[in-house]
Amino acid sequence: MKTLFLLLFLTAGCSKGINSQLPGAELPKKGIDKTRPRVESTRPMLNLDLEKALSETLENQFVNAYDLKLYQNGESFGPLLKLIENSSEFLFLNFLSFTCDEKTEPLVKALEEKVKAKTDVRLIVNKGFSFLSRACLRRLEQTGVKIKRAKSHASYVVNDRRELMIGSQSIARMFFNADGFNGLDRDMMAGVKGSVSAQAVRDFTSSWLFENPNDSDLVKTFLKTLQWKNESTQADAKCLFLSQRPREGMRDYEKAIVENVKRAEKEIIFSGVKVNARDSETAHLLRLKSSNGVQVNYIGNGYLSGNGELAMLFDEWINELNHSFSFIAPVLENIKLWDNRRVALENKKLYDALIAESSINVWAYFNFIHHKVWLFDGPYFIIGSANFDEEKFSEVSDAGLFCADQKVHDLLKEELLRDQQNSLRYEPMKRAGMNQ
Amino acid sequence: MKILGVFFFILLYNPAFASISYGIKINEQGYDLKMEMSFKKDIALSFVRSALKNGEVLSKLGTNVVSVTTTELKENRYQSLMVVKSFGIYSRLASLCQDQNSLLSWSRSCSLQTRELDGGKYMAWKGDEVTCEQKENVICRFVIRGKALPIKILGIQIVSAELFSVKAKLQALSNFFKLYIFIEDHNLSAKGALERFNRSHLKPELDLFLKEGTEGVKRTGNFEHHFSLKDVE
Repeated sequence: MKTLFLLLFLTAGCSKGINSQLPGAELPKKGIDKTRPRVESTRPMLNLDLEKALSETLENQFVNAYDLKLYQNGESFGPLLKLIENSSEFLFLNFLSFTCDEKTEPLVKALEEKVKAKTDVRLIVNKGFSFLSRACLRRLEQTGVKIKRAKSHASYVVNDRRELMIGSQSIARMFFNADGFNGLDRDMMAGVKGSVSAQAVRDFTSSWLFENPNDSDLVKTFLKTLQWKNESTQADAKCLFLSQRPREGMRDYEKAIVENVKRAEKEIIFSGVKVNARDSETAHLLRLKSSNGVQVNYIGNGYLSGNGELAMLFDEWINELNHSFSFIAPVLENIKLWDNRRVALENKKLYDALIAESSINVWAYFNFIHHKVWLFDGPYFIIGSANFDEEKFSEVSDAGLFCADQKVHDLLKEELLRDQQNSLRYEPMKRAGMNQ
Repeated sequence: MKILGVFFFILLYNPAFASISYGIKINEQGYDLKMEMSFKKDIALSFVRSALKNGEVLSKLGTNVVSVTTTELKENRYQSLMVVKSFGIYSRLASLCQDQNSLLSWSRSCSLQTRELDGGKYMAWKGDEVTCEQKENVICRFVIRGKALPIKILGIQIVSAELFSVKAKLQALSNFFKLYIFIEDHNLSAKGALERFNRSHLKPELDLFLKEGTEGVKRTGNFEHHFSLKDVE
């Protein structure tokens, strides 16, 4: 046992010195700057060619959207609770994971109240992650929440009041306790109202029917939402729901990214936990665009970001152990650092593959980036759950919101620029050499 | 009485009702399949187009289509590469296609490239066209024409071109029927559509088509068949 402790201590100790070539191995030179850069607002320039291509390619079409808002990190908790409380006929949740803890308890209680009030509450949760929250899901099921375990990586909730929240957060304390700087998930969600919610209900219904094709009650609910007309009054934004359900042959999320990248002329910023470009059409287009002068920036994770939720759990345990069995804490710390290094090495390979023979910039955030956002020219952006990961595009279901709204676009850009200023630019040896 | 008759005729044959119909002729000149799909009012053109263009959906619907990939060419044209599996044999078929879109219509025409990949092994020529229009409801019309080649092993004819056409069009009809049910169910579930297909009146129609088609071409070398259905269940 002593040998193991010594080995872990030495391994991690050594690794500190050999991590300098890994992405995001240090803090940015200027330190952490919490101020949000200002983006000068421009007149929205609609791209009719893009909109035509999307309307000819995707199932869902643009509809007017209302109250489109961005929620950073834990800011989403209140609006999410409100959305649950507002539901009366149905409430559909589709999340990677659903955990019962001290932070999410009000959400769980709100769901229980809704079931008591005869609201049709349904939850789709990732099969693998559901194993980690068995007790919580059992509690919900006993209350009357209908649950399906599926290959889902989506993150959204929709109710019969035409309210939708979508992004990449899961229901767990590390998302709602986060402020973007405190070592927890750097994430965001979008809230929107209007008939785009009917498109979310369609996605949910289709995902549910894949597990249970004969659920006629759900189909009846879905058919009712078809009557939700596209509100004709003046709206600030227009949005459409993007589905990626590869097991059913639905790849509109991926198609929307391709069509947008194809038409980029100035800038693309995208983010995610992981990027696995492979030899995809999107990767090819990104490289081509960057070589032709389009600024392409990817904001992701590095050595300091760690391994997401696992690193956060380690931090929680280390913190607790420091108050009790403090001699074990350094061992856990070293295991965490070893895992950070393992993940950073993997990221390094993926980043090298992404930026090969291109001018794409990769930025490694000092905390764990969890948002999956694409910012394109004009007022267009995607906020959703899909990483740019060619492997996962064919494995799990994802969901996103594609919108045209200049104000939210500007705000999103400011947030991404703030993340970028708190990131370290990854410079692979070869390209660094070429630049000198 | 005549007026009443006309009224009932319009009521029954109103294209705003969901229905599917087809007519096929097979003879020594080749085959000619015409089909019409009329969808429920709440089915939007974008959903019909999406399903008809999505080769991956076809593979999920238990058809003989394994995959469809497309490569963009110039001027709205593209090459479609379809991998199909029939009688345990994989074949790769390349077609040149062109789409035309407008707000209320979508059309696609494709011609099989018989000099590319496996196309020439089975077909002398083949072309297909589909036009979908959003009126009161969406109506799609398909025209598929071609000439199959006889199947020979070591120079000996095993299956005549006409009989091969019957078998090939049986597969095509099966694919179309499944796709029709999938779209009528709002593209929601391939699994559900397959279950509905197996319960529907469309499945026995395929058995009838095969029986009559096989007998017809064996007896006279010609075969003609028509079918129309309003309520798929």
